[in-house]
Amino acid sequence: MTNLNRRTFLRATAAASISATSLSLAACGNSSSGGGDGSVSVLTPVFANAAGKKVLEGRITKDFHGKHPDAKVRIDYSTWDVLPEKISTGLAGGTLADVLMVGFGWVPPFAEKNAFAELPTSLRATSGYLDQVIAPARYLDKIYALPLGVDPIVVAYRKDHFEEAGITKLPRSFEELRAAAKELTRRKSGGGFKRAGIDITAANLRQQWITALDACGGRMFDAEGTKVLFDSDKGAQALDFVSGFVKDGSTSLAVRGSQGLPLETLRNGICSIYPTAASAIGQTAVLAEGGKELENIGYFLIEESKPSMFVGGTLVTVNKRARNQEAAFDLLRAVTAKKASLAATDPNGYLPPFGDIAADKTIRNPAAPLIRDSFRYSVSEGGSPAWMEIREMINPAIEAVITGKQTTEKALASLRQQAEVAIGRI
Amino acid sequence: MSAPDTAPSRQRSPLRARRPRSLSRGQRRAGVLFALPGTLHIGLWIGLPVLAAVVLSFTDYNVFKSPEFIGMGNYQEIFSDGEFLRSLRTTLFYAVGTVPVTMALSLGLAVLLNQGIRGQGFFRTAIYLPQITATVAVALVWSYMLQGDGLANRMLNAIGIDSVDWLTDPSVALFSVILISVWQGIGFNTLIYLAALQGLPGDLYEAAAIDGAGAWRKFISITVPMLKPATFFVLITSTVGAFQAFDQVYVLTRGGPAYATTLTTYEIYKSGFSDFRLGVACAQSVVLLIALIVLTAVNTRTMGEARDGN
Repeated sequence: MTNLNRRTFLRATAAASISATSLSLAACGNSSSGGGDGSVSVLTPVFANAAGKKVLEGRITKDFHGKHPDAKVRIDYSTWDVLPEKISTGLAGGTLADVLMVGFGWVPPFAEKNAFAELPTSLRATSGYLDQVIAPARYLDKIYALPLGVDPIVVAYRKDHFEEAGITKLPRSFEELRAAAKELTRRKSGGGFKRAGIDITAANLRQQWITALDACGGRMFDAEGTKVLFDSDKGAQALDFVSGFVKDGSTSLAVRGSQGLPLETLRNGICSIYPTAASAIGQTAVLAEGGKELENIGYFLIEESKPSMFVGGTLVTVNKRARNQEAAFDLLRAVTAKKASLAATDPNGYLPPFGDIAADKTIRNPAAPLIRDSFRYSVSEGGSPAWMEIREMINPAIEAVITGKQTTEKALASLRQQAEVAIGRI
Repeated sequence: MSAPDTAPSRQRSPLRARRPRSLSRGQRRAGVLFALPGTLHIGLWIGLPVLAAVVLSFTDYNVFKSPEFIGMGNYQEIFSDGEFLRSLRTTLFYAVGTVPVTMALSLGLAVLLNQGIRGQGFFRTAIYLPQITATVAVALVWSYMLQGDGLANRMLNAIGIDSVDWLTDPSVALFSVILISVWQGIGFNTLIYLAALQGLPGDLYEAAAIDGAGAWRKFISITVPMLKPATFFVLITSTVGAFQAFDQVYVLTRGGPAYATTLTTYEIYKSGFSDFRLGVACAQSVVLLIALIVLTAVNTRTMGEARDGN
């Protein structure tokens, strides 16, 4: 037996460390995900509630097993917040799931970096989908994903508050909406809000700004997504609109609901106007089970030179390095099938992405009629291969304007500079 | 001419002479084997990731392609990047706001708990409870209390003070995060101080009492100097903890509003998982590590000199 002393021990440890470091760094290169045993893994930020799990693990998996009886389906339930880190660590470690559910706007950045697989010919028949919903699944004329559900942003409002304030017409411009919010605001004697005119934290500030930008005819990027256009006069007008409610005294960033309680400030009368993702309305309708919870609430769209409806949602795609690609695409087909989509989206408050099914009477979301008629006004985020970086920069810039730390012009100039650096790295 | 018995270059100074071996071969082998699990653990789970991070910090690595060596490129970028420097400043402010306050309050509480008051066990448990509660849960509860119409503002309103935008006003948000961190950090430090206090020799206090020293004089002249090792430990662990704070910011503010609470750890997280720039994130982590090593060295030196002076 070799004599073990401190020196030989240290030598052996150093050698082992160097080998292990080399191995771990080698793992940083491109590698394929699992699936050699015929299994298919799924990473999903939706379906996490009991009803969703029942659909995914029951009906959808059953449909998939019709063609792949021996394939195991391994599901990793996640949240939107941690999805980017799950994807990046999965890519780095070669453990990324085969089937991925991602957001609108995510396809160009990941497709550009060769992370998502282009759909095979058999899955490219997209005629049943709404055009506006299939557009975010494309990058450079190729389709990388199919939509599972859509989650547009609408403006919910309290009909009784409008009536009490004598507002009989819904706001049709930025100016009218700001005036209405001001009119609806009620303050306590000490100065705090008895009722805020609007809760601007109810929907993502970035998405509200993109909606306002579209409503006044502006655009975020050029068609290739490589030139910044959002710092135009329209961009400034849209940013002034979003930040203006705080300056008007109609709300503050502190007027906000608790996490996990949809429509809380609106239902409790803490605010009168509430820009929100439709899923929050749908979830409330599902929870209220046909009760009177939403009877007093109406819906409209942000409008300036035209109405605009932000359309977010979930896309289903396949990891380009999935070993069992055929099975992964079949699972994608099962997840996005019409019946599965309807069953999956309704409990979450989402709407199915199909042109004809949007009129389905079984959909419980009370904002559905407005949404169904407004797809021609839709706008989605993204469009740039650098979107995953750029999107994180936008909310701090808007917050800086709202809190008076920066002027609109300075915030947009700084945002443009950061966005151009990010685009330059592509 | 005969050569000297021992060549000067090969002479060992008495200080550097090899120590006589007092352990047998079997004992040495046993020692190495006992050290092996710990060494492997540290090497594999701490040393190796640190080494990998240092290597990756010199590369352009974005998880979509293999790392490419770019020399000091990432370091040049982060030091010309306003966001990273701003996060370092915010972290420094956070540490300065958290560490001394936590230490002072912990010492005060430990002294109170050491007085043999009734219900001591209950108070000890109550003070230590925040430490063993998950930071995410703590932050979530605090976020409910600090929201616009939350408990904190209701209490302020009840005594005629206007509501404060605890987490949404850029000039207040960092103080709110500091407040929560202080509240959560007190338990552990109090326990360390309490253990140290209970080990102090009683005869010193008796002698001081005979000399006519009052409670304050005894605290300043006996307790504080005698607690120096505990203070040193608390200072190092609190400083390191402050520079590694992440959960509170992740749950409470997501670094906002307008970057007001973006600590360096959160900036690293953004670089790695939002921007997918792991090379840059590794460089930022290495800078944070170096900053911590420097701070610890300064603390060690300062506290060591103070101890020698005494």
